[in-house]
Formats: sequence, C-alpha cells, structure tokens
Amino acid sequence: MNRGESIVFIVDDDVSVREALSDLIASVGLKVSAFGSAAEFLDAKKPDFPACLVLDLELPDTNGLELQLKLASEVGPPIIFITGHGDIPSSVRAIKAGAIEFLTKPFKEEDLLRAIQAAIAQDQAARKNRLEMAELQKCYSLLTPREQEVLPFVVAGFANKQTAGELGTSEVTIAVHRGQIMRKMNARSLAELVRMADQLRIPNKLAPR
Amino acid sequence: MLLKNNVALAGRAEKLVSGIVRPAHKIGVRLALSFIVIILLMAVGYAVALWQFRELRAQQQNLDTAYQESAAVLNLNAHLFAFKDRLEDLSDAQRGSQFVLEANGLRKGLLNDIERAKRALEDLPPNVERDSFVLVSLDTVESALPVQIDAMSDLAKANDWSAIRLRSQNQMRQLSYLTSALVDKVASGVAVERARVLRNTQLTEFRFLLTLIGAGSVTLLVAAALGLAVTRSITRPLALLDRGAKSLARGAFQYEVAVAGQDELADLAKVFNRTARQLQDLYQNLQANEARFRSLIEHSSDFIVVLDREGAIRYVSPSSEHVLGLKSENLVGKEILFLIHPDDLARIRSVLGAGTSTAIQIFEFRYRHPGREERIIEAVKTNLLDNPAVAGVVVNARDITERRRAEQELRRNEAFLAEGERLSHTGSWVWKLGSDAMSWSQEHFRILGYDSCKPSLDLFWERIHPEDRVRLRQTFEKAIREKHDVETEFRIIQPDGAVRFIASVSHAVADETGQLIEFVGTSMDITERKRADDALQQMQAQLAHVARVASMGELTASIAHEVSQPLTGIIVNATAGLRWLAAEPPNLERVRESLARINRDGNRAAAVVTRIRALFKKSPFRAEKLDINESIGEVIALIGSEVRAKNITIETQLADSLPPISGDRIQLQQVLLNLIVNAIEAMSETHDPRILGVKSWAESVSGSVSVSVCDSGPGLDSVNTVNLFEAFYTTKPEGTGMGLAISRSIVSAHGGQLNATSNEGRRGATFEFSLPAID
Repeated sequence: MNRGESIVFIVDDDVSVREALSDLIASVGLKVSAFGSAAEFLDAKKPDFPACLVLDLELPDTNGLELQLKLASEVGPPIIFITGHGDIPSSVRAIKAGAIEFLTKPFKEEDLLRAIQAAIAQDQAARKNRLEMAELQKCYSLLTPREQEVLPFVVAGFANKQTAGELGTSEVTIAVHRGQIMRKMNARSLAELVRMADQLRIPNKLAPR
Repeated sequence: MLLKNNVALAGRAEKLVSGIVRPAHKIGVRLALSFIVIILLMAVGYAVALWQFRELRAQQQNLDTAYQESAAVLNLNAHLFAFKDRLEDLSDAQRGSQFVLEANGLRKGLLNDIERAKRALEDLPPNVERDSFVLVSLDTVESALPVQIDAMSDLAKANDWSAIRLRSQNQMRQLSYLTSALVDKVASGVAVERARVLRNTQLTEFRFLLTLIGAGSVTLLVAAALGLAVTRSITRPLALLDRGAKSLARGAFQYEVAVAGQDELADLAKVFNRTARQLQDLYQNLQANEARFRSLIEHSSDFIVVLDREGAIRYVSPSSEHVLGLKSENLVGKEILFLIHPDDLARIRSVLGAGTSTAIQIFEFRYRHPGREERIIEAVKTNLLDNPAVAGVVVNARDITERRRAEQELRRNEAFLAEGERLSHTGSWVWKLGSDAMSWSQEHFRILGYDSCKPSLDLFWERIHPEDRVRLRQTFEKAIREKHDVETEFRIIQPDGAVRFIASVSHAVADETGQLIEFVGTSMDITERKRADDALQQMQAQLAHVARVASMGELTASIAHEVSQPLTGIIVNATAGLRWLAAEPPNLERVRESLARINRDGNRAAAVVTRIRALFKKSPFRAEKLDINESIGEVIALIGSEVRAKNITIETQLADSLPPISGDRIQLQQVLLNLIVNAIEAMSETHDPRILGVKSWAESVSGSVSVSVCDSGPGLDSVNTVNLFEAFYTTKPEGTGMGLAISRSIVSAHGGQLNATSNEGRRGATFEFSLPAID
C-alpha cells in the first residue's frame, strides 16, 4: 500500500459507523480525518495531500449528493459513497457525478479499502495532471498577445507564409514568433506543442486551403 | 198713577218672588219667606191705615181745640156781660159796699175766664193756625179789666155812681165789644177749622180706602205669585221625578232627572239618580251574571237535563247540542231513554226508574250520536222533585269519551313503559327520604331478583355488591347533603349469584321550600353493554395492533437502517480489530477499543430490536405512569433515518420537567408514530424545506400535557379536516384510512383529545393531542 502522504476524509453522522471506519482505515496505515456533518467537513482546514472522501449519502444538514456537486465545482477529493439504504437512482447520480464507488451498508471492508486506494491513486493522478496544467498555463501566460494569436495557426499546421498571409504580416515575423512560442512553451517539437495546445483547449484553426 | 204704581209693585214682587222661590232654598224656607212677605205686606197696609186714622184723629183734635177756645171765649164774653150787668145793677142800686164786695169776686171770676181762654188758645196743637188778634185782645182785656174794676170800686167807695155808670157804659162797653169781636173771631175760626177738618177727613177717608184697596191687591198679587212660583218649583221636579220613576218602571235605567238647586227635591233627584244608576249597575251585573251563567251552561262540556216526574225532558241546556248532536228544543217533551244505547237501557232504566229516590246517583251510558261515533256519557242524577224551585229530576251529563280514551291510552302507555323498561332492562324507583319506603317498577323487581315483596331500602342494599356498598352509600349521602342528582354505576348480586352491572341515574326532588323529599331514579342493567364494551375494547386493541404492525411495515426501510447502522459499526470494528491483532506487533490497545465499540454498537442494535418488538407485541391496554418526552424520544429514534432519507429536518421542542401522565406506552407511541409518519408522507411532494416539528408542553390551566406534530406539507383543506378522523378516510393511495381513526380512539381512551389544524401563516398541518396529567 502506498504509505506516502495521503489522507482519507470521512463524513458520516452516525457515530458507530464513523468511529468504526476511522479505526479500520487507520489500521491500514492511512491518515484519517472524520466529520459528523458536511458543514464541519467544509469548514475544516485540509492538508494538501492526495486524499479521498468517504461520504454518507444521508446527512443531517445536507444530502451527500449535494455535497458532491458542491465539491466538484472546487477541486475536491474523489468520493466513495456509503449508504444505509442505497437506491438505484441515487447511485447512478453519484457515479455519473464522478464518485469512485457506491457502497451499501453493511459492506465488505476489502471493497471499501480497494475503493479508497483507487480513489487516492486517482487523486494523485489528478493532482499530477493539475500540476502539469498549471505549468502549461504559466508558460502560455508568458506568450505575448501576438504570439497567442499566432499559436493556433502553428498548431493547426499552417506554414509560416500562410499564417503571415492570414494575419497580414511578413513570413519572417511569423518565424520569429514561432521560435519564441516554442521556447516559451518549452516545446521540444511541434508535436509536443500541438499536444500542449490540445491540453490548454486552444481551438484549432481550420486547415489551410 | 195707581196702575203705574201697581205695575212697578208687581215688577218688584216678581223679583221678590223669584228670589224667594229659588230652588237654592229649602221648601220650608221658601214657604216661610213667602208667608213673611205676605205678612209684611199686610202689616204695611195696616200701618198705612193706622196712619190715616191718626191723621183723622188729629183733625178731630184740632176741631175740639177750636171748640174749647170758642167755649172759653164765649164763657168770658158771657161772664163779662154778666159782670157788666151786675155792675150796672149795683150801680143802679148804688150800694157801694156791695159793689166793692162783689166787684172783687167778679174780677177774680173774669180773670179766671181770661186765664182759661188764654190757656185754651195756648194749648192749641202747633199745626193750628193761631189768631194773634185773639190773644192780644185777651191780654188787653186782662190788663184793662182790673184797672176798670179798681177804678169803679174806688168810685163806688166814693159813691160816684154816675162816674161808675159812665165808666161802665164807656169802658165796659168797649170791653164787651172786644169780647164780642173775640167771640165772633173764635166762632169764625171754629167754622173754618171745622170746614178744614171736614175736608181733611174726607180726603183721609178716601186715601184710607185707596190704601186699603192697593195694599190688599198687592198682597193678593204677591201671595198669588209666590204661591204659583212655590208650587211650580215643587211640582216641576216632582213631575221630572215622576217621569223618571215611570221610565225606571219601564226599565230605562239610563234616564237621569235634571238636578237644579239644593233643595229637598234636588236631593231627592240626586238620590233618585243614584238609585237609578245603582239599579242600572245592579241590573247590568245581574244581566252579565245571567249571561255568564247562561254561557257557562250553554258552552260547558257538561249539559243539564231536567226531567219531570214521568221522565220526560222538560229542559235541556243548549250545550247538549254539542254533545248529543241534536237541537235542544227538539228534545223537550221527549222521553230521555231514547238517547240511551239499547244495551245500556235496562241498567239506566233501573237508575232513572228509581226517580223518587233522593240519593245522588252517577251512571254512565253509551249514546249513538247521529253524526259521530258512539259517545260515552257520564251523568249525575239529582232528585229535586221536592224542591219547589226546580220540581224535577236534574241530570248533569258530560261526554267522557275522550277521557275514557285517554285513560285507555294511559293504560296502554303504562304497558308500553313497562315493556320498554323490560326491553331496555331499566327499572325505575322512588325513595322517600327519611324512610325505608321505596317504590319499584316491575322491571326493578326483576333486576334486583325479587318476586313480590314490599319494596324497601334494606332489600335494595341487600342486593348491592359488598364492594360497592360503601361507595354507593357515600355517593347518596353526599347527594342528600348537597341536594344534587346522582349518576353512578354499581354492581348487584342476584339471588342466583349472578353479578349484574347497574347504571343508575336519580333525580333529587325538593319541595317548594327547597327541602329534599325524595329521589326518583332508574336502574339500568348494563351488564350486556359492559360485556360488549369489553369486547369492543378488545377489538379496538387488536385493530390498533394491526394498524401498528401495518405502520411498522411502512417503516421497514427506516427500521432496517436503524439496525444496519450499528451492525455496520460492529462489522467494521471487528475487521479493524482483526487487523490490529494481525499487525506485528499486535496493537492490543486498538483491539480493545474496537471491542468496546463493538459492544456499544451491539447494545444499540439490541435496543432498536427491543423497541420494535415492543411495538409489534400484541398486548392488552396497560396504563402506567410515563414521561411523554421519553416516548417521543424513542419514536424519533426509530424513524430518524427515515426522516434523514427523506431529507427532512426534525425540530424538537420538548418542555423540561413535564408532569407524568398515565397511559399505555405502546399505544401512545403508536399515535406518535402514526402522526410522524403522516407528517413525513405529507411532505413527500414538498420541495421547500421539509420540517417536522415535534413539541411537548404542559397546559397550565387544564393541568394536561400536550404534544403536537407539525409538518410543512400542503396542509389540510376544510373538507378533509372534517373527515380526517373517520375510519377508512384517506388521501393517500396506499393508505388504509385507519391510522388517524385509531389514533383518535387511543387518545380518547386516555381521556384526551386529538385535533388537526392547518398551520397559520405557513404551509403544513399540525396534529395535536393532550392527555390529563397525574397530579
């Protein structure tokens, strides 16, 4: 098991379940932080570790699904739902909204632990992804407005001459821009640049005529 | 002038008369006044006559005086002539001494005559004319005579007879002449006087006659007028009275005599009028009485028949027509027996046949009414043949058909009542206070299990269940003390040992002074009802149980959740514990903690199961002292997860230190459960905040404990508020419609009330019940 820095959050209003889960998760060597309500969880200061959330579907202050939606708008941890009486519509909604697992009490501990591991792994990947993205965006922000204007033409496979024609400038100027773009974006190849632009969701210009 | 006088007199007399005969005076006074007037008038006449006589006498007197004067003068004259003659004789005889002697006597005699004549003249009444010449002449004679005589005497002494003779011829002659003239004078005076007297006498006589006639005629006139007036003043009212008396005699009482004045007749008229009025009143009263009695007789339901000695109808009162349907005049002269039903004839004939018997007899017969159904007539026969005022047999009869019918009705009603008492197992009784005596209805005898005996309080107490005696006695003692009605239940033991339940209602009857005199009551055998009640109660308990189980069925998911929570805890804790145990080295501290939690969760699951089992249990009604908040807490614990699953917020407001109540815990929890489940279901379609409010509080006034369950659902409309608590009424597709009906009957059985209201100012409904607290 990954004993690196990671944490499991538990939100369940039932003390029996909450304490038992905390103990179980602690017994596999993971950090645990348990809360009795959604509000407590939202208010708590959370360490910036890969994490996952074990969430009771029925909470006294709010519905687990609502909390899920709320967390999705931020960058929340992956969610594993547990419920006393799971109904199919709720589970479908939860999974669609990105829940890792939907477990009905009483559940097998392996299922929970497996889900927790998967969730943490997913969070790790997501965090890595978010890090790369942040890097890319930082690079992209270094581009001048003209360079940002040129970038879509480059990744769309336009030749410098064509781009210059489109933007009404000289081929040389476009070549200089292109070099600057490659440098600033730390792109070793056009292919890499294209992938980056894709990641940044920069719209493709239409292929040259 | 006389006529005028008379007219004036008559006018005055008229006035006088009218003054006298005015009816303002009594008749006696009037008559006396009239007589006084007449007498006065007569007196006046007499006075006038007397005056006239006096006048006449005065004239006579004057005449007498004139005669006396004349006589005196004549006497003087005669004496003087005699004196002269003597003197002449003496002188002739010449005897002086004789002469002197006689002369003195003569002088004395002459002086006396003169004196007398003078006196006669002086004595004349003053009204008689006095001749101054006479007196002067007399004075002259008086003064001259003695002188002449003395002179002659002296001459005689001296015997100078010639002188004497001369003197006598001259002087004495003169004196004679004087006296002769005096005589003439007086004689003429007398003649004048006599003529005057004669004239006056004639006048007086005439006046006297006139006065007599005048006074007499005036007196007569006045007397006649007075007489007429007085008579009229008497006869006129008398005539009126006479007329009044005649009209009275005719029966015209309204005639009223005109009353004028204040005399005896006016009094009489007043008395007459009063009497007439009284007579009128009397007559009217008499008439009214007569009319009343007539109307009484004619309109009374009774009628009177008077029979003669032979049994024929002599009189029958008009009211008979109403009863008999036959005109009363058609009955007179008929034989009375024809009215009587042939079947009754023989019997009645024997009664009336003994017509001579004086005893009052009452008999009844049937009468075939010509226009109606057969009537029953009751009659009283009184023999008054010997009473001269009646001289008949008086039969007083009345139609008693209705009474007989009412009596029959009454008997039937009594029978109905007895039947009713028998069917309803209700006996009635009366207990006279202060005595042992009671009266019981037939059914009361039956209920107490007595056959026939004299009802008494002792016999009543004998049947009362020994356990109820003290209480019942106290109840009645209190009722007697406070004078109020009694409503109570007790048991009796019948002779066969059967115990019967009796519900008794009795009314305390007081006399007009407020003194309690008796109790009138009913005793109802409610044993069967009691048994039915028990059975019903049992049925209700069963039904409540069924409903409870049904509602538990609705809560299965929730209950499963309540159990699965601690079960999850147990399983997870066990897994964790195993892991701690499997660690190298085993973390025994954590294992211990896990086991402690397993223990706790296990107990928790067990408690849930216990509660559920309690609700499922089919137990009879058992009242115990309980805290309603505790029961509320247990119910909320059972449905907590259901509430959460439905996204409902529970808001509880349970008052601290509520007084305990007495009730069946399970049944009350059933009510709470039912109300809460209803509230949850009511909010299933609600998207607004779903709030379930549960409240408990103590009612300070009534000393009860109230619980309310409030939701934020659509609320109640007026229609379903009415029907809400009826059995089988439901607004839910799967509802049985029994929940609220059962809840209400449970609350009622606890002496409370269950009500529903729509929330004011916000959505939802509130169900509220209150239960009496134990003090």
